[in-house]
Amino acid sequence: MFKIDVQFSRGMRQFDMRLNAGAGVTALVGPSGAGKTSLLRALVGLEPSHGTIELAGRALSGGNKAVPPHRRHLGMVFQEPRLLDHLTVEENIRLKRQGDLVALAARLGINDLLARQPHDLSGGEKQRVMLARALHQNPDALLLDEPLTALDPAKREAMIAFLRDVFAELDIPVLYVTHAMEEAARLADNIAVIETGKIVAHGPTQDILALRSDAHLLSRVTGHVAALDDDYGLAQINIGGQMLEVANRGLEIGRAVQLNIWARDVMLAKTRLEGISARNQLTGRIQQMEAIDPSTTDIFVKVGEANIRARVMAKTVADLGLAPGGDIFVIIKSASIE
Amino acid sequence: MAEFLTIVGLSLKVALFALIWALPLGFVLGYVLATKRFFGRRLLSVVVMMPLVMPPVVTGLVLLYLFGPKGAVGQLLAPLGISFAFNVAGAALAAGLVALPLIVRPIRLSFEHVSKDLDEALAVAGLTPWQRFITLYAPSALPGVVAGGVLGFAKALGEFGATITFVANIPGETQTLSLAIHSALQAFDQGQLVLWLCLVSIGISGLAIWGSEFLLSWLERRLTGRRAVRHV
Repeated sequence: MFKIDVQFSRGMRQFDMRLNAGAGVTALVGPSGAGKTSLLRALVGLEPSHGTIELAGRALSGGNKAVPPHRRHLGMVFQEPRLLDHLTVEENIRLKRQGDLVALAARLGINDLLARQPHDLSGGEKQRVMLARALHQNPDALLLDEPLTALDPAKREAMIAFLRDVFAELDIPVLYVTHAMEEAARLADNIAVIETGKIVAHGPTQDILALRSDAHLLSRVTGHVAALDDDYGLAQINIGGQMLEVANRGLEIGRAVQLNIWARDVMLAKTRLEGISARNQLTGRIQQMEAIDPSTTDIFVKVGEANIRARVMAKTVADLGLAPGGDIFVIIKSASIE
Repeated sequence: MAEFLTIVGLSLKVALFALIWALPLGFVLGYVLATKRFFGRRLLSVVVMMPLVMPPVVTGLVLLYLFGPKGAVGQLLAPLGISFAFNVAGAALAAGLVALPLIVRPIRLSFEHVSKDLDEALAVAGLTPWQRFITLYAPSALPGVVAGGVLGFAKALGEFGATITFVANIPGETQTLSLAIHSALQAFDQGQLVLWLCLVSIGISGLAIWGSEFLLSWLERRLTGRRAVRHV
């Protein structure tokens, strides 16, 4: 278990990161400048930090004591390969440690590279050698700082598949820094989201993905309460002159409200529909269409002042002949008041 | 002819002895000045570089006041049987001191260019500071050592001002190439000797530079695994 509770500053920025990472891959995801690399550098002892770092019951840093980098037993793969040009690949992996390299080299597919010089290798091969160096030390944890940065997209794909296999055989904590949520989703068991120096979310990959990737699928619509239907517990919300009914949770007439509408709760129709359960049908005009993948299209419909996103099948777009500028009925299955 | 060989042999001996003490010291100074941060670092840097810019005669005088028979250090060393007065050791001391800045400079530059990134990577990989010095710093400094060694050797070989001031111009004892040429020029009948001494000076200097070029390109291949780029 990697127990991290560190505070540090870089220039004017303050960082405060708390994270417990067990065996398995934890991706640290965030935009550049969020403090991902700085966190790794603090963990390996290349940058000073306050707070405590504990790995497998061993204190790496805490109070006034900090274990120097060479005694932390951590393996690290940097953004760019850091190999000694005057040594062979094998010497670069071994450094001072003896022991069997054959099994490791076979696992990482670098048997043929061992006798070569680093400058002969491609970017991807160099990063494999860096990984071999890190793993040859039998580290207590493996840290990777955007190791795919220097690779072109095709090599990146191959490297992701390769890393998945390598990570699957490790039983130590692996911290994988990346700015790409997609890369994290494919490699990590857990994701920690870093924003402006703090870890703002941490959990199993699927949970974080559900949380994060949906955020942009939410349309926010503002209106005000026009009428209340006490018999059925409904409130009518006026949105640019059109009425939308939602469950009344203690609203009073005249109050401004914001509605959250998920893209998957929105249906589109060329004509007003009769005899369906959804009560809310608004008229709008298609503003813009965005193909998400070959089978899915997002359609943005202007209703009054609001812009509502609807997620529909691409085939629907063709069948109904939907196009920007066209008038459309927007059927909202459910909307919640924020 | 015997005189000629004595002069050349003595010069080589003085330059070699000068390198024997100044090159290791220059290596340590270059490393310390490039990589350590401490109080007085700038002062040390200035002191080390002084012989390069001071008039050599002044350097010789300073040596005389310090290491001469009546100098502060000289008096302390005399009971131990160590003397720098008017002998080969003194000539090597003067020549080495004047050569020291030229030795330190390239070595220091080599150390300054050692990649911080590589040092960090090796530290994280578990190498102690000493192991990093052996694995990374020392090999990286080799080109600087070669360049500094050759420059220092050439400077020591041709040193004039500090040597003549500190240990005088004694044939067979302290009369090196430059001093011998100077003396021969004063005489009426030694044009032949002057010519030969000049030729051998040019020869030794050229050989040293050629050797260092050869060594540097070999080192370049060893250190980077690449062929040195030749700029024509």
